[in-house]
Amino acid sequence: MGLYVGYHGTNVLAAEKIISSQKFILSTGEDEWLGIGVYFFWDADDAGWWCADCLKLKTYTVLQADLEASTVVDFVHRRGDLESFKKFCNQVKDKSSKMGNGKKRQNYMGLAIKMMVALQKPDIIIGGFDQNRKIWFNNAELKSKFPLVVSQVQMCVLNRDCIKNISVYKEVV
Amino acid sequence: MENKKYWESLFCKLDGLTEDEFTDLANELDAAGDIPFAIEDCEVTIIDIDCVGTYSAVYCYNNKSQYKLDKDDFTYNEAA
Repeated sequence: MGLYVGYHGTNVLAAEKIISSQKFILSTGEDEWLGIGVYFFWDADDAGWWCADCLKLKTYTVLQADLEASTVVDFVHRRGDLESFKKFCNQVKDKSSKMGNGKKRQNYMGLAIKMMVALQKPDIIIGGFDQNRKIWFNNAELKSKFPLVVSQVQMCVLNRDCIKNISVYKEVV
Repeated sequence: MENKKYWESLFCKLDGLTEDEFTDLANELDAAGDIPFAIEDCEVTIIDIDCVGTYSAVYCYNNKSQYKLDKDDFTYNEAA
């Protein structure tokens, strides 16, 4: 059993609806890196960054929730998961280089995630990204001098039953 | 241990697919895009989303009609 605390930033109205219904809608954007699910940040400040810097919201709410999962694919903390996923990506790549319309497939990562979820759905996928950490390493010289990587950790909850005890963590008004 | 079981099961299912079955599934996933709740017999495209992340409104169309995702029961309904 994996137990986590996640933070999700959104506008005030949506946050009120989520709190009253204790329910999230799945995120469905085509560029969702970890698949279709409800996205949480590991760090509450990143949820605030998402609202203020990405969504350009002047007022927003950061929600906190407990995440209780049976099956977790963790690309940040478990090297074995990453190695298995790489192997899986290679097999997927070898099996399908063309899409149904005959065009060459460009995005194997997206297909691999979709295929992974379709064949054996985990409750949560955890991934690390460098989105708002790039300022630390904005050129090659600094990168070599300061090689420390502190990922922005995102948790994609595919099984909404895992989300418990949704509450308001912070309001910016 | 839990994860070992997960990956073993995943690879087992992948290995169990013939090339045609794999291609069919891949094409199905491509066609479905990233829309979680499909409208039956329709190929849909998201045309407008507001409130990214929790999507207070998701609209789709299938060349004939426009649909809106119902926030309460998570189904698509024809938009007025």
